[in-house]
Amino acid sequence: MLSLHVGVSMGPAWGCDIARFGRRLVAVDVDPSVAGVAVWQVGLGLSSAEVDEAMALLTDEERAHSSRCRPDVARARVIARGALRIVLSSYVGVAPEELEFGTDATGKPLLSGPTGRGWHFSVSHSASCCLVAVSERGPVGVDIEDVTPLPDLAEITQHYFAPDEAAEILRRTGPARTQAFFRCWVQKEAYLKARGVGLRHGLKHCSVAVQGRAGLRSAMDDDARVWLLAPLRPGPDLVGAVAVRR
Amino acid sequence: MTPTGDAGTVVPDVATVAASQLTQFMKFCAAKTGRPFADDTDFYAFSVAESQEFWGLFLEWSDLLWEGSPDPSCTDPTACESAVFFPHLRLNYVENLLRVDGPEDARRPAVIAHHERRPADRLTRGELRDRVLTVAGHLRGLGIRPGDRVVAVVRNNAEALVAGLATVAAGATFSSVAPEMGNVTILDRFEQLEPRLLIANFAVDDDVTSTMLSARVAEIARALPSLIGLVAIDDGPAPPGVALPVHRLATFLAQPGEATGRHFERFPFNHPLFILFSSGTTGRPKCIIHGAGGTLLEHAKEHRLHTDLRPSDTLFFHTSTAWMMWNWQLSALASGAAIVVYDGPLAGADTLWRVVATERVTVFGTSPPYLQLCADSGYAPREHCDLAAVRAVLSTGSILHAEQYDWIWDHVGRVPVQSISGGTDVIGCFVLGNPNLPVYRGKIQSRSLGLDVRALPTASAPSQPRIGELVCGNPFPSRPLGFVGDDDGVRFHDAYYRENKDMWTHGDLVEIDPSGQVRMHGRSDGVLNIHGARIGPAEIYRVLRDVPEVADAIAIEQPTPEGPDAARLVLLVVLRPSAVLDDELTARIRQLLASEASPAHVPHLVVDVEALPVTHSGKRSERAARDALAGVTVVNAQSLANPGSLEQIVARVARADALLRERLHARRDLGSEPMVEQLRAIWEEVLDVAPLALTDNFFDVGGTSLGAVRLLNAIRVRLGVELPLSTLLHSRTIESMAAAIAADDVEFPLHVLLKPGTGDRPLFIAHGLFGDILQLRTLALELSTDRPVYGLRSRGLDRRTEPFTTVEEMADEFVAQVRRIQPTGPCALAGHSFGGLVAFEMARRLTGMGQQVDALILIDTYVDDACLPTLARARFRLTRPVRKIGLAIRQPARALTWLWGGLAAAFGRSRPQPRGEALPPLLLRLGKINMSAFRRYRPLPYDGHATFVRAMNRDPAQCDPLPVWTRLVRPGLHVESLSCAHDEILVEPHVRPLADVLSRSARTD
Repeated sequence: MLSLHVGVSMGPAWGCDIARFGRRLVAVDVDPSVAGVAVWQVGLGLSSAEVDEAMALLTDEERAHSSRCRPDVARARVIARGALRIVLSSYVGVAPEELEFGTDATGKPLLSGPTGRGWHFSVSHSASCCLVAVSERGPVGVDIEDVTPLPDLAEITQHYFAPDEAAEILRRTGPARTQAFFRCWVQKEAYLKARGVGLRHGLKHCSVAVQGRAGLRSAMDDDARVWLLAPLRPGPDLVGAVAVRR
Repeated sequence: MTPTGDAGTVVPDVATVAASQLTQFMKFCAAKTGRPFADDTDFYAFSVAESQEFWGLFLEWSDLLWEGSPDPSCTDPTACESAVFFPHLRLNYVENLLRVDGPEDARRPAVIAHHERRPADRLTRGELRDRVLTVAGHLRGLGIRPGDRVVAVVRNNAEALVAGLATVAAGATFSSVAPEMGNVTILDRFEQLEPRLLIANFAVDDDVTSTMLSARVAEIARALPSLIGLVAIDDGPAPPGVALPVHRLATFLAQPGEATGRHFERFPFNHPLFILFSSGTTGRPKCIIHGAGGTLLEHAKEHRLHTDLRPSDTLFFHTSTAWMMWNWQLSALASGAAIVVYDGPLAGADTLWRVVATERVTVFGTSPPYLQLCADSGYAPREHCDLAAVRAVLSTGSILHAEQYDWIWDHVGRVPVQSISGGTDVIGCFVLGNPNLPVYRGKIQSRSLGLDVRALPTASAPSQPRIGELVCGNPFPSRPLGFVGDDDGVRFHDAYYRENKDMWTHGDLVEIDPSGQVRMHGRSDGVLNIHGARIGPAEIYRVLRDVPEVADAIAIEQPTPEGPDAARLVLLVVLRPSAVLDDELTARIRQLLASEASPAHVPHLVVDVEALPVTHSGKRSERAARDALAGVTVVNAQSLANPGSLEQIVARVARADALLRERLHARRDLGSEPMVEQLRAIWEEVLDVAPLALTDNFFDVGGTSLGAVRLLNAIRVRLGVELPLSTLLHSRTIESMAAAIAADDVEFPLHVLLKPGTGDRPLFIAHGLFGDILQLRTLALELSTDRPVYGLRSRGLDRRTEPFTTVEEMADEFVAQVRRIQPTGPCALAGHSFGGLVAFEMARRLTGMGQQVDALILIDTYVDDACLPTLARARFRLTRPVRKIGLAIRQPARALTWLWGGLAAAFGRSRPQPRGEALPPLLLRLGKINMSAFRRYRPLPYDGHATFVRAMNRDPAQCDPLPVWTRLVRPGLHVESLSCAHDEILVEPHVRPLADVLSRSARTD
């Protein structure tokens, strides 16, 4: 199991005062079958003092990256990045503001430096909530979505999802269809993020279990059996999934 | 000078370099300093690094007349803003201009003043000196003292020169404007000066208006309470209602004995000499005070070192008295050169060249618009005028484009083309010519010696890192003494030194390559700020040169209610006659800008207007349009030649805006919107954010993976464009997405509906030599037929596709297009000139496929002479004159330009002034390709009927194609003749009989 450097409570850490912001981070239950992975969550509805604390952890570059966006997007980015730094620092044992990030060959972010070796992470946020997943067992991907009805759900499902997924989703109606769609979406997205490919090869590239136990059923250029997928329930009207290599 | 070099350069020969004054001065400096100068770059570096020494040496070498001590040449070469040059030197500017060395020198010409309707006035150096001394004495007698300000409303004639020189000889400060400027504009300037004397032309050459001029001068005089008198430099009527004494220049000159003190008093080096005006963005024009020594020294340097002016030269720089170039050319007297002035209107393209030829002008200076006027009207000066004496052509005022260098080299002579650039603010140049260096087309030769001219990296042109803000990093003698009414120097500092500490910031964008060659890129303050992206309008104009329909354009930033950072880009275009700003053209302009410039250069609105606001000096005024669109008072309305244009601009933009809003709001029929707007609507819908800028990054405005899929799905469903899900990884903005879509599709249709019809048997008209169908619109509209009329245009016009190179390929593609519109039924085909070959080949193919062609019309279509029967060919080749189209065989570019010139002139007839450009490079290229397709095409027999429309004024350089067509069209060729020339047939009035013939031949009953 993952062990934390400073215990479960994200209290005062190193250089920066993250007293308030740190307390907003909450662990999310992960299916015990997915050992070696921890998922933390933070709501995006924070006070400006809390956001300022998150901001203080960021590098100039990260700040610039967020400053050019629409204000609500910028805020989400600051919180997500701050949360990622705090979570990672607790495992890695380096002050949050001193963590250095790089990217791997596929463009997926990773921790650089010797202390960061062996740690994998993934971040996702919806309109209301942010998730940070950390893994010591291999590449990890996390995704979260607000479950809202989509007018174009059927079109998207039919055109972009794998045929078996589409059939299962479209068999349902009403809220059940929406639920099925998002359950499917977050699993696919979590898997594609863990792979580091994103939408590059399209969504038909893999097929996940829409009903029953979460899992990857097939992937075009991959062995589906080496991946673990677990559903996440960070809150009402929120659905998430985490994917990790066995 | 016998310059050599390849097509794109003119290289000075060894003798020219050896004899240049620049070389002599470099040797002088080498001897004095003990430094060997490797080359001009090395010497420039020295002039900047040791500018104090440089100016001292130049003063010594130039042999100017002065007294006092030349030390120090500059109080502190590092104090850019405050250094003082030659504080212990005294001189008289005019004494140096009118220096006469012996009776021989006194008889040499000094001023030749040309007029539109009168013979030229000529003054020798001796006469000019004499007159100036006399008038200066009389001015002293009137009570004019050193430091007094004298203003003038004068034309560019000899009397104005005498009056101006006399004023400054007496130590007063001279400031001139041109009578064609409005009184409000003039008073905006003069009221600030509190002048003591007003010098004016009271008469104009055209007698009808002279009372008016006199009355206008009276109005000016009445508004200037500081005046003690007026001086008329002609014999026009005395201005009515002015209580002040009115003196006459002629009276002064008739009484040389009564002049007070016929001598040149020497004043401090930094004594005020001229006041020039520069209108800023707000408030009244700046009154810039230039010093006598700085002006003299800078001009002597520019004339002698950079232009190599010497006593054997005759300089004609076409200017008005209101432009700084008037003062600049005046100083050329100090180099011993004679100067030519002209005060008439530009009656035609030949006006100035005739003066150049008559006076055997050696250095001719003009501006890009005049050169463009010549090119547009197809005028080739060299063919009409003896320009053998011209050894250099100078140009300033705006950017001289590379094609204009070519034009000068083709039609004037292979002489150095010296594009020069500086300004009123420095009464000189930052970048200009150099007699020792080659001239490369499109480039300015060098930086001004002694001036540390640099391109400071700027955010203004992020896409081109070599383009920077033009700054001067050291003090220079012609830096103004200051502004009038700015005693604490705050405005002066703010104008030039605030933006970059310890540097003169000029407000121009410049690109300096490592060899020191320079390219100007327009005003940096004309830079548009669109949603935070800074855009140089010059880049937009450069791209638009490749849109044949666009004659002229300006790009403006229009503030929106969302605030100053939410300004949007509005492009105003003036179209050529018969061009229509439809969705296709709008989309093509946008796509071209997106791909050739950047997505940020794509305008929010493209609006066609009849005229752009231009100033009296012929410059487009972006500012006036911008102010008008912003709904604020147009600051420079008085200086516009056509203030009425603004009203139309505002109305048209408002209409276009309303239309766009309606479309966005309705969100119903996206099909007719330009691609970026269609995308914008979809983006806003999916992201639930509005308004979105075309440059907004998808992920920065809230886009997520799911959002991306939803967006691409909406584009797929609504626009029928299937984009891969990876699209947003590289195309993250609306504009780059539009560009990505544009790059893949073949949205540029080769067939264009020129005239809708009710019938089901369309008429297709194939493009002429230049591939474009712009000229076919008039014809199509004149047709009386129920057939829908389509134009078929060349592939490659969109610049994304490669043009076809053979008639057969074109016919193949057009046949496919025809069959798409008219899969089986009959159709009619026509082709103008070259297009006739394409139509002919199409007809052969369509009938070969079993499709009926019920009319084929060849509009004065020639064939290559190789198609003639052997005997006829031999006879033709022996007798053909070697010119025009015949020329095309050896010099296609020139022949095509000639053809286009004729065409452009013909189009221009319906307009007050021929505007726009010579053959756009794109059309030139298509013309060349089609010319070679023409020469290679060998028509084979056709089993159908055809009509051959013949222009009776046949070009003798072309073989008569009639025997060829008669032979090839088997069942029979119907011939119709029109009495016009080949290149007139599509133009009023000849287009009407042509339309009749077509309507008859393509009858459907």
